[in-house]
Amino acid sequence: MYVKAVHLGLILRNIMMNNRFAGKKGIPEYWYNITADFPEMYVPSIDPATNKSVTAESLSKIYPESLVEQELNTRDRFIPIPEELLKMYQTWRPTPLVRAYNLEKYLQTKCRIFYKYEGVSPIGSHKANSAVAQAYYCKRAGFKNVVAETGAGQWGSAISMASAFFGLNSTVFMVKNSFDSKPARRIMMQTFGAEVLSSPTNRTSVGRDILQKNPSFQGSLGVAIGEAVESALNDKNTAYSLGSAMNFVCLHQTIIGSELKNQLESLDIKPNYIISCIGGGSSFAGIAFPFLPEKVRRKWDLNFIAVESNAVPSATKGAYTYDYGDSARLTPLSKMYTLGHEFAAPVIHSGGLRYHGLSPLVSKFILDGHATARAYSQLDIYNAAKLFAKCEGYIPAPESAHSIKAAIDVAAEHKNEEKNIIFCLTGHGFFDLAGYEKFNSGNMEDSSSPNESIRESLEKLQKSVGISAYGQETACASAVSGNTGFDSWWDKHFGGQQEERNASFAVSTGQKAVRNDLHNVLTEKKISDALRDNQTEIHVARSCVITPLAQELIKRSGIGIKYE
Amino acid sequence: MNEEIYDLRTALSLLNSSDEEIEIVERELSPVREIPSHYAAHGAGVPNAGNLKHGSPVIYSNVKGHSMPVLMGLFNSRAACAKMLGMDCEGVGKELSEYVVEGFQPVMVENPPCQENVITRDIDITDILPVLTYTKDNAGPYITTGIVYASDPETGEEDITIHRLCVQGKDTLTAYLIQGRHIEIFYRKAAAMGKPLPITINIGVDPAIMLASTFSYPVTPLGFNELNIAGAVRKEGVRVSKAVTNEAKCIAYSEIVLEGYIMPQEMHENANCPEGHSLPEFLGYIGKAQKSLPVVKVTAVTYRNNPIYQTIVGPGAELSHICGIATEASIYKCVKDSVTSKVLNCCCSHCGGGKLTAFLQFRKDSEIDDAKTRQAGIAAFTAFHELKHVYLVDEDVNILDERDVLWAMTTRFQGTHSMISIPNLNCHVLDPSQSPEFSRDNSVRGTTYKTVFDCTVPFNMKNQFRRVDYGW
Repeated sequence: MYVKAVHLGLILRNIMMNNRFAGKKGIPEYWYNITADFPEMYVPSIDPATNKSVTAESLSKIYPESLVEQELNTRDRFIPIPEELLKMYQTWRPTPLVRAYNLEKYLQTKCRIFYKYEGVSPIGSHKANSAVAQAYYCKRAGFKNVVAETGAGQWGSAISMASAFFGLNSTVFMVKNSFDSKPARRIMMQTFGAEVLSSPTNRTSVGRDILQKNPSFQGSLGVAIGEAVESALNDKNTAYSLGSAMNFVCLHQTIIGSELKNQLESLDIKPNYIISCIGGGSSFAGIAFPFLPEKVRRKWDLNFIAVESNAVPSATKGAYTYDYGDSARLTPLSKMYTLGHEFAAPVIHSGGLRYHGLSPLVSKFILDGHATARAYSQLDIYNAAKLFAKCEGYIPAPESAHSIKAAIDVAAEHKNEEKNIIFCLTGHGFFDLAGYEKFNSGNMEDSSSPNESIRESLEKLQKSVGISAYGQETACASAVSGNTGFDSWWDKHFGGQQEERNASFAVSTGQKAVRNDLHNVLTEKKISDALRDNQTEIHVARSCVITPLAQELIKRSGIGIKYE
Repeated sequence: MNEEIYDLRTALSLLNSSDEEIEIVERELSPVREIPSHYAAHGAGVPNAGNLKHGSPVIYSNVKGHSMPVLMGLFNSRAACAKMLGMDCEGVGKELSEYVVEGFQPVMVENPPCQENVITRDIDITDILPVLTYTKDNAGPYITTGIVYASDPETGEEDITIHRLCVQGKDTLTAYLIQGRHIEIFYRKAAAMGKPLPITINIGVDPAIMLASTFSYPVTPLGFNELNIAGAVRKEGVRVSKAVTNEAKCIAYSEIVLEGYIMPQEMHENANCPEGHSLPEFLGYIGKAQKSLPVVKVTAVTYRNNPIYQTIVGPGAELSHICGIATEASIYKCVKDSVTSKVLNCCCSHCGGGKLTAFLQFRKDSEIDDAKTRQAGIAAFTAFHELKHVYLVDEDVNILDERDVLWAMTTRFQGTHSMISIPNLNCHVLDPSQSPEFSRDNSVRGTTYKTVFDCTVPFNMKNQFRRVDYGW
């Protein structure tokens, strides 16, 4: 049965070669820009320095011009892939679409389960798709060095390889936790010639600050991004490369979905479910975005599912608001699902999903109801990974195992229906065997949703990001309830310096006199009150204005007015 | 009750004691978009996008980076406006029209409360005041309730008008002076003499002053100081004082006063992006930045102890009331004086921002009233030149409720002959449909078809249009 599955993959690969929708080499020749078809998807990021939308100029400080153009492009639906890149993609593309017959059989489901296997790239994951593109544009723009951060090591490996292809120097800030626990990834990067640093480092102010506060800090993707961005900002020959979240990364990854579209079309299969995991969101964007026109305009019965870890549940428990992409707040503010840039993600084996935010495009995609998000725990996904490995032979990366778990669940939910379920197997898990060892030995701890940390982090976010409420209209509206009353505010605001509210005519008369007992405006009512209290004289400020009605009453009553 | 209000504080106090809800938001919110966003969600009303509810006034007591609280929505309900004027809710505009008289000149007082604190050096406006930036497209922070008070450099005649003021620098603003407004005429005259125009910008004043400031010609012609109207409402002259740093006057009980000069020089409203935006405007659209606006140099910021910073969001019920009540008064007065005494009431709907749309209510006693009613509709355009649509309705229609007016339009209107439409008339540049691109009949921006929708029953057919009577 396994042979049959791979065989289908090979057949599809061969079909691709002759597909008129694909390029000459069987690879799509264009990236798909979702914002041209669905302009509402584009929510500009904000430059905190100016509080205005980010401009090409500000982004150009750390990215090559072509990438900045792609980031801001909402005009062109298809962006041509440069010929040189197409040749590079040929190294591993088209990637196979494989039907998981054994898994289907095991699940006893009528659903058809397919996976688009991106683990065939040289570095073993989909990250290579954007890495070669970014390195290509960096080289073309004249940069000498590329700096990046990496969580699990997949992006680091990808950008190290791509830099080597184009003769660029690369430096990778690797989250300390992964640096220590995944030496193989580090060695891989070093083999490509990269300098790999355990983040936080003493090399950047971002790292030094963190280490000063917490010398045993295990690192986070947010801090590593901060270190990488700082390095790029401080050297004009250095470009920053980011493995996810940015619009241009999502754009590059659409080669997955476009290619899948062609493969499915060749087989006359319409997908009912498209699934991928979300850390920063690039693999999800890559496989899902090219299908949105089919869902929205051609009314396909198509569901997108974004799957995340319950330990870092930005889409299922985060806020949709503006936030920084990094802990050091060096990046622009992006409107996205976030747990707050200070959120300390619990340590899990799916390092690639330990990111507090989510691509603004993917966030909007989910917010607009095109996709649903699910969160799974660590043991859930390892159970699914093991089952998948036993059925299909591939050992998946733990990040990809989230998609497998969702696919299994969907297949179970529709056990007696012939649904077509496709998930993105973003990478293999050969470098994650330590995690599998832990799981196999029964020593793996399950993950849970850190609700309290999330609440604290989002509260901090509200305080630290001046525009947090901008995107939180609903939250703001609900915040109206629970206000204090007007009376207590009045007392607090005027703090006793102001005369009692109902006698507010006794307004102080300027900086020279703050006499609360003096009247500055004398009204008929005040005189009536005084007469009722049997007063024979009223003390007023020298500048007191006596209203016409009051003047009449003074004449009639004969009450004395004393100016002070 | 009427004479008890002479400033913002007494007005707030009155509203609170008369059971009008005033929300206090203690949560820390930034003046940069957070407060406007919160307020829009709370309910700014039509024509603002978002929550169309007319939310209660809100005091933001914990403004990020500022000790001054921010007040929004004071004029959000017609009932509150009427209460603060001591008038009846339904006929507030009609009643206000009686106060458009001269004779309650401002009264000079010394040591005004607004000068309890005076800053003349190292002025940094946004550091001192929580000036709001409304949206991400804003050209900058905007003062939206600044009543500009100035005198004619030739005649000495005074005027007050609200103008939008964009903070361009620490002590620099730009003022959008729409052509023909009286302060704009003063400014042109001063500029022609090569002189700056001394002004004060008064923020947080007696609501009667705020509502009076939106009267315009022909009801209040050049030389008519609208402070007279507020004085008449309060039955005593508005107290004013000499500014500290220039020869202008300020409103003595303002919460905050900015003193300065409109300079004979101009700059882009949106300095960062001249082709960009300004702020949300009263008709509900994000405004285009003006390419060239007069510069205001601020020479002093003065304020009362424990000041309250009042502001409004461009589109919404609040500004519609501020503009609309004066417009109602103007139209009612003009129609009644010049066409027919059968006019019963006037209401300027929020959908026109209080300016572009008016509902006029009549009682018909004879056949000739059919014609007089229509003539009154046309006369309304003369009463207020920015008016675009007039809906004529009968006495059995509730003109405070747009739904009832639309009912009348549905059942008492025929497109063939119930409509009078006149092309290419001067109206309002901020209505984006008033452009030659939209209709070739508009010669330039700010010109439009003005239309009267006669939704009244012909006198002779009254019996066929009897509303259901439940006898209550």
